[in-house]
Amino acid sequence: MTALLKIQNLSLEYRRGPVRAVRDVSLEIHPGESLGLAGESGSGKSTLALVLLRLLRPDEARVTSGRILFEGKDILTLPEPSLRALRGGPIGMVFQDPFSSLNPVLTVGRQIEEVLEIHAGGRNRPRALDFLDQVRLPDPPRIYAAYPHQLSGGQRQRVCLAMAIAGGPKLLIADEPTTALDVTVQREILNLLDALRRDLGMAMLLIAHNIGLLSERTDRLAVMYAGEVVELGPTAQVLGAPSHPYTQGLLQSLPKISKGSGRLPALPGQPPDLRRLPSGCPFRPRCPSAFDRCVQEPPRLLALEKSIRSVACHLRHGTS
Amino acid sequence: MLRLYLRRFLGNPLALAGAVVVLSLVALALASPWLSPTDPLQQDLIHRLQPPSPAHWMGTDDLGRDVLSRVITGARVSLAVGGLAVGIAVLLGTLVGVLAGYHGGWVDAVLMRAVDVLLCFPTIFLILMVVAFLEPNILNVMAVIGLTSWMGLARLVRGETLSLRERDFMLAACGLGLSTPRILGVHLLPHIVSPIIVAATLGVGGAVMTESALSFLGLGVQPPWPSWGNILTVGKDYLHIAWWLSLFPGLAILVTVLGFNLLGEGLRDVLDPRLGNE
Repeated sequence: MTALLKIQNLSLEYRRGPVRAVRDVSLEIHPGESLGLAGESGSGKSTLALVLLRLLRPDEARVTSGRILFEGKDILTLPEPSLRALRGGPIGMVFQDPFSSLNPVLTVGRQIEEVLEIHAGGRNRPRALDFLDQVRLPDPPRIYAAYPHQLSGGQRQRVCLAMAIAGGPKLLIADEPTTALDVTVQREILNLLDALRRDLGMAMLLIAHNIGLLSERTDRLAVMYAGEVVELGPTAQVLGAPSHPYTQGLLQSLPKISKGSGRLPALPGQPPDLRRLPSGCPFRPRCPSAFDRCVQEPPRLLALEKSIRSVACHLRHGTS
Repeated sequence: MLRLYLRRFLGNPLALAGAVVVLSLVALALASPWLSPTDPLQQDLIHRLQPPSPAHWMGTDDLGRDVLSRVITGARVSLAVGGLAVGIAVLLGTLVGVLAGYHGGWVDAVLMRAVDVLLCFPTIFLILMVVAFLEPNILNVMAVIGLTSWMGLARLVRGETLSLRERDFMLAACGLGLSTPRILGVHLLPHIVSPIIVAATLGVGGAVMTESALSFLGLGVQPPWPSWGNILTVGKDYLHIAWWLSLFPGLAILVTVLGFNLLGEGLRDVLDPRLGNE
């Protein structure tokens, strides 16, 4: 199966610093697949999401190496008009905060129809209403005429989703779509995302800092740390038997119902300063099982033996 | 939204007073050919320098022309120059401000340094310089005032654009594949209309003053066509024997500028989104 989106050895830095926010990342997303991307704040996940549509300002960030192939075409070298045709069309995006990602002075209907106008051949009220219905908003005509401030957070995120699917995406990038919402609404939105993905046959890149949210809804999982992918594999396997000490730490810090009360183990220390990375493995200063080699040589993301999983850790790769 | 603004507007006495003054002035200017008691250009040398009387409410000038008629006709000049000059300034200032703020980088640096340089010169000096090379007539006066008063607005618009540029919905609009002109026109401009309206309204007062000053110096509207400024020029020569020649055009300028300033200040309060919905 050929990949829908192929990220090859992508590195990126913010000019101020310079902060090396994404370092040598390679990922693939296949048609219809759901890939989860987990990591702490500042691990480079949102930067990665933005650069996939070239939404970072060239005066703030620059790609230092690598390619992003969508259906074989390199997004990084695409001319502006083709890029615009891609944004909001074949690649849809849902942002973190639905309170700020809708334009407060335009009605919901106007904003959805704008997407239709650009990507689906013209404004069309019935179709806009249909999309509002697809994201299971009650009373679409009322929502259609409403301004964003008249809606709740969950409703707004549904509107954002409606706008994203209105362009008929093959790939939906959802950058922490539930972080700004109430816990009770989070689950609904994630279930809706999942259902839409199946119904419309889209691929999805679902980004979250809460690794637990990704467990049921993604086929594969990538864990990012300090701008690198440190572990990648089928979600169930990664979560069931994490092989990178960082992933293990992340999972241990999740509350579990079975364990009862008591203090949760937390990962000691802070993510590294991306302007001054430690030598060798970036996770070394926080790693409980670091040894000599971790100081000398940065580990590379390599496949585990006889497995479709890969991990960037010297512990797992012996003396290669 | 509009209903909310209207309610706030009606509850704001200063804004309301300003609006009444401005609307009356506009009506006066539009109807001036029918409202002025006599032809503003018609001389009557037998009745020159007459004090205010029932026949001439504001007296007559050195050539026996009716001052009331000249002040009313002058309103037309003042408002036309004020309005169009501000129109030019708004277009130019918005264009430069949005361009600088949205594009950022060197475009911003070049445009804003140019604005800084232009702001270093006293406006009246800039205007005199331009007028020195052009024929003084009403169109040139409008253009010159407009071309020398857009810098403040450009700064204002740039600031607003800079802060809007960082808002998520601008990024989201970009992520939906909208073209830059559409993002600027549909998603950015509506957010900066309010401060532009306020600045423009306040600007009209300033432009009226500048026009009067230019005409007073003989560089604006040319006699015999009346403007408040050039009526004052004549008044100056007869100040000790014919006070009405200076008082009435002076009052007209005062009321006009006051009216626009009140309206502008009022609109600032009315359009302020931080005031909430009460």
